[in-house]
Amino acid sequence: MPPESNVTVFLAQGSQEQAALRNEMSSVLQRAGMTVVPSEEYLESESALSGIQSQLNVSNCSLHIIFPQYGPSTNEGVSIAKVQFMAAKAHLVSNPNFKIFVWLPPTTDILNIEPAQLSFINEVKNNISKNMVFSNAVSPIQLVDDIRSLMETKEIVEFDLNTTDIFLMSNQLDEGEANEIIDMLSDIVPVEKLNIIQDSDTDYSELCKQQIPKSKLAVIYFKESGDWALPFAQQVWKKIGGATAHTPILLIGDTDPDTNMGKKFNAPKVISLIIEGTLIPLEIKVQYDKVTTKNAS
Amino acid sequence: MQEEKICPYPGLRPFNEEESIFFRGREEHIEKIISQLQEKKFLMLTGASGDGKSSMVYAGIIPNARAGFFKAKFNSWLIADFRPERSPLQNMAVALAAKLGYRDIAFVEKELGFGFSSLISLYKKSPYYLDLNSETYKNAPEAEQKKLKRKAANLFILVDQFEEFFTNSENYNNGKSSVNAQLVVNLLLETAKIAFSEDLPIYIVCTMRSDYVGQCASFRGLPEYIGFSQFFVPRLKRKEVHQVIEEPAMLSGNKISNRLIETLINECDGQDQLPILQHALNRIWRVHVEDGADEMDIIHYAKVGGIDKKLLPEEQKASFETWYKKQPVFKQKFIEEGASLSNVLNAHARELYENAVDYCRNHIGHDISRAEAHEVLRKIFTCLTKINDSRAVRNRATVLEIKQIIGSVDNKLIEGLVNLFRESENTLLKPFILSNAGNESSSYSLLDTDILDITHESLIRNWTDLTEWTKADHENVSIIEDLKKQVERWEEKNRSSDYLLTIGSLSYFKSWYVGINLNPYLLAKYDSSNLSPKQKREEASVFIPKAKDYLRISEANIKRNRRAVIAIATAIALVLIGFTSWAFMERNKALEKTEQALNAQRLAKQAEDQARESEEEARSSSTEAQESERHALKAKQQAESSKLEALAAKSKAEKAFAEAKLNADIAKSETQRATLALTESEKAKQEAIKSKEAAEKAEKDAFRIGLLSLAQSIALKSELFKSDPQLQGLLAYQAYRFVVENGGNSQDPIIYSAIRSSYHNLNKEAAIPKMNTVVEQRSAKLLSDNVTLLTADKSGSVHKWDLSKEKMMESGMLKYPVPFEMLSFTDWPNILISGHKNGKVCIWDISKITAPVLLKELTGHRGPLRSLDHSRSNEMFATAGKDSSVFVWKYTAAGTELLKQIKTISSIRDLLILPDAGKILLALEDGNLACAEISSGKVNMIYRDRSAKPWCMKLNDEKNLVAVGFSDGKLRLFDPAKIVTAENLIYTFSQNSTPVEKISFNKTGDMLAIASSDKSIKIFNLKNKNQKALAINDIKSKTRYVLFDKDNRLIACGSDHAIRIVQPSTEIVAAPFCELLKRNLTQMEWSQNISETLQYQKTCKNKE
Repeated sequence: MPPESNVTVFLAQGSQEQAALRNEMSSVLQRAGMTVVPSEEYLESESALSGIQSQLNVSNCSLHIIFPQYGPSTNEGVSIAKVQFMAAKAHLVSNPNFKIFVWLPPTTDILNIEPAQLSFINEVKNNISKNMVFSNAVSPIQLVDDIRSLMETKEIVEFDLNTTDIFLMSNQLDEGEANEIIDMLSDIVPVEKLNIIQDSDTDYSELCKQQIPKSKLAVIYFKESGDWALPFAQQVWKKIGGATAHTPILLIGDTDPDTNMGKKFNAPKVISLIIEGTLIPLEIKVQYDKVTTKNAS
Repeated sequence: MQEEKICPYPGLRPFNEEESIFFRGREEHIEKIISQLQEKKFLMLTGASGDGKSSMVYAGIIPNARAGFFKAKFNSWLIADFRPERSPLQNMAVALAAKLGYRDIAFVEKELGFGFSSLISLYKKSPYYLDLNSETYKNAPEAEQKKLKRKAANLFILVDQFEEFFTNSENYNNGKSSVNAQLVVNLLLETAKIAFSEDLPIYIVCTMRSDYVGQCASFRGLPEYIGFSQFFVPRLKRKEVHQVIEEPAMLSGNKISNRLIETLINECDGQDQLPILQHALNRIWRVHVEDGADEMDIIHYAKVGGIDKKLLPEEQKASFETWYKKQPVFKQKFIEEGASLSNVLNAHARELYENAVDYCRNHIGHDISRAEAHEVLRKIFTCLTKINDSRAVRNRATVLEIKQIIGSVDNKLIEGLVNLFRESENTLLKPFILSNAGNESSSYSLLDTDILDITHESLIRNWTDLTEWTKADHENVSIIEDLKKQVERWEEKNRSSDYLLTIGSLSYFKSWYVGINLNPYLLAKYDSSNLSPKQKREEASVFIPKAKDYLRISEANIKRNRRAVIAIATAIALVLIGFTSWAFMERNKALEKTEQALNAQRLAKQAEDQARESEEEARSSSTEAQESERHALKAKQQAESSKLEALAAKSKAEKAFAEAKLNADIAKSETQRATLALTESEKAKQEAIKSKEAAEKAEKDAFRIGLLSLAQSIALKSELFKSDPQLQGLLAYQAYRFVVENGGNSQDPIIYSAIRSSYHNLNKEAAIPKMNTVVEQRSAKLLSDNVTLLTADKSGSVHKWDLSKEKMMESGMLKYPVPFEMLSFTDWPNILISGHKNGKVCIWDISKITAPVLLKELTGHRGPLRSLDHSRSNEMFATAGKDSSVFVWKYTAAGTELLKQIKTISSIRDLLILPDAGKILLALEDGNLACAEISSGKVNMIYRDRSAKPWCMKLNDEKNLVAVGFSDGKLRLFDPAKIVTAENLIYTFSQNSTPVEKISFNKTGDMLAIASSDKSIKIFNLKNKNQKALAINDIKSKTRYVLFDKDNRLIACGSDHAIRIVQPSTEIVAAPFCELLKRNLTQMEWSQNISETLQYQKTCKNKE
């Protein structure tokens, strides 16, 4: 028995001549644990097109096999394959988790493709949008393996987190100083803190990834832990999407010890400062105000 | 102000720690590695070349550890990383001393020299070690404890490119590891064991190419530890490749179009996929910045040579064309030729190679010819590669070493030529020139001690020029080995002239010697023994003068021999001239006599004429007399008197006639004598001509043998001119003509190889296989029409091909859920048998290729199947597999039943049903060749070669010969009728040295082809077993299946998914040469490459 995957694939239909490959693809998808709709091997009449939308509604993704022939057309002269593809594309707009897979079998003789079909292929290739895959996988098995991995959702531990204004992260080596800063800040602005302990079992990486988007400003503070702070800031920045992240990161270090002076991280959405210890709470507040003002505008 | 754009793709080099922010696609694997490392303290990270092992460590594990995402005792990390290179112990000592704070490297090296716990001791004695269970720590105040903890650090030891323990002869030679290498591995393993048992914060990671795992057995304890903790870097899935491409762009604030992402993913396949992809992305990013584009798109990919301009979206074609026309011609050529993902790297390197000349001229401040600059650059890159186990690999070399090998170049020239390759936007060569250093000038200069290194081996495989250079360099190694053997033999035989080179070999070695600039440093580079570099150079210094002597004396010997031949020929000519003169004199004498005879004859004739006249007169007188008598009747007295006078006249005439007749007879006799003398003279002349012809033939034979030898030499030489296909073709074809016109063997392997190589160079289209599939074909069968070919692959696809059109006609799929292990077509109509990973055997009806039908599924084996053979006559087949069992099945249309199960002591690699069908020949994994009796199930060991295992087997169509291929490349022929006796070996072919993977006999049984794991195909002549095998060496992938068609053409299914039709007849391959060649050799080319003394002739008569 194949493993259940809870993925339903809308496998686009074609003409009777094209049914063999679709049939093979359907078997492979099912053996990979996926459900295939519609169950008919090919479209007998144009009227069957009316069921496409309902089939798409129960599917997680659609798969369109490209044949060299344009294939049977509707009364308007649009191929049935294209109609189904356009329907899936329209479905994608309103369902961002939906995915479209287009497969051009590598054995297809590019030189012998009907002009109308070539034009359709170029249209698809040149207008690939997010969540669309245009594959030339060597076999149905490889394609289905790709589909399965792309449709896979990883189970993530959800941390119980609060929305906050400032999320301050520091290393256990600087715990005392970090607590003092938080004490000063928390009177005027809500602050969540995270103390990184090197030999802890907590998945800090995932925790930061979930907490930072719930904060207006992410602060990484360091004094004695300069060797840790810069790589930590870099990895966290990467986790939250770098230049596309919503929340900026403030990497702020104490001028004492002076080995901290070079510990700066220049990247989009990162403010990197080394300033005197006593000024750090104030600087955090200044940066926080800038962020909130910018967001408000 | 617009922010400066950041390039998030490193190019060909691995990601470094700083770039970890853009390292994506491996998160899941890094998590697993960290978890494994936390628990086991040791990890052998293996994977294919170009799978990103180094990046995973430098940009994945290490930054995560430093960031606190690696559970360890302390916050700080000491990263002691090193590569084994040629001195692993020294490199380890340098890395540890620097990190653990020891100033005296010699001390560290000495300490490490004691092995076992030495490394642990060094760490414990360093200021970074803290025992959290010690009384000192426990009793210290909290502030002091904190201070101690801040100072303490975990130790992370990284041995990058562990395979250098095997690729450097100083570490590993002839299957044995050196003492130093053993010591370093001992230290690593012992440190890991102690760290694990004492829970010390020491972590050891080694990265190694997976193809070297087998060789790890030469280190004591290492295989066990690899078994304990290993991580094989998985191939990236589509989703992860998508992340690799898109997310760095997104993180750095760049944009990349979805259509470009999908195009790149679809092309990203095979070896070196990641470095090639990263390099292409880096190039695309740079072009899109130059264009001022907002988003990286297909057009930028076309501009770096990744995609054919015809495939561009319509709206980008005009813009591309405008840009294209502005590019230099060479660049236009580079980006157009074979546009593909891997061509981006090729086009980039080729462009730098062209631009390096002008760069160099500016750098050195004076002119240098393009040819000279390119020649030096070629030599530099050749120094930076070497061949290891038939694979071209990197060879780090200092600037000084390069200078010593090339000779007559200085640092300035080397800088001028290589700096372009080192610059930050190219980084094809290390050390890189970093643009962000601010003081660029310092890194532009190279010191003697600077080490140059090719950034990634994918450059060697994808830059077509470099691939060719490494091949040529590899050939140099073979030539040197050959020359060494010849010189050694000559020395062993006290420099006997019998062991000197022949004219052909001398010509070959001499032209090679002149071109190579042989010196001790170059020879040391080619020396793969485990001697020290100094010892290698010393040996080379001894060899070079000997080689020079050998060539010089060989040349003198040939000249001497030539002079002797000329002298003999002259003597023969003189004798002939003398003999001819005598013959002429004799002839003249005879002619004189003939003339005398003719004169005598003439005189006799005159006398005869006179006599005849007299006779006539006499007759007339007689008539008159008769008339007178009649008148005399009338006058008695007058008539009586006249009658007496007439009688007297008649008598006189008769006498004169007799005399004339006598004279005529004498003349006739003289004529006969003269004719006889003339005949004798003619005979003498003929004998003289015969003698002359014999002498001429002897001379011609000597000349002919010389030409055949010369032909071989020219054929070998032709391979040196691959860059000039016309010249290569002319030389190869001239060599072929010399052989054919002088009665040589046109199937000589050297001639065949040259003709074939040249043909493919001249007619590149012909070299490209026309029949391609998506998966490599593992089984094939040619139908009786000699045109229809059936093939099957491991994905279960079956194909029908038309060989006359070189086109696939039909294909279908064997639908079976468990992976296929092997497939075999049978001689039974439309039946194919497959074996599977779960031990199942399936019988298929393939009468309809497009829809094969599963007839029967057989159960019995308990593990993956390895081999299958069917009996041609009595519908029986046998299967064998890893479960050490042979199952013999009876197949009929009505059904299939199990006849016998036979157990063996070892798993079975291959099996063969012998002609009498009562016995099965087995190639066992333990190295034995065994024979199983089906009736009794008894297995007898019949043959064993202690140094090799039987690998594959084949029975010929006549069923009187079994060929068995072995793992050491040997091919042995057995008589199947006597196979169970001890004295059964008929013949051993020893011309092959790598495992024989497939065997095929031709239909007439006089040819036998083998495919070996070195990718070559060799064809043996069974009628003349001593004849050297024909070798096909130009197929760049392994041949998985090989068979002959009825016309003796070879059909080879390659691991590159192509099916090739190989023509093993020199005559047929050579036939179209004069159509492919556009010219003839020039006089100069003839005297340089053919002979200075041999008269010029046109290679192709129809050409100017």
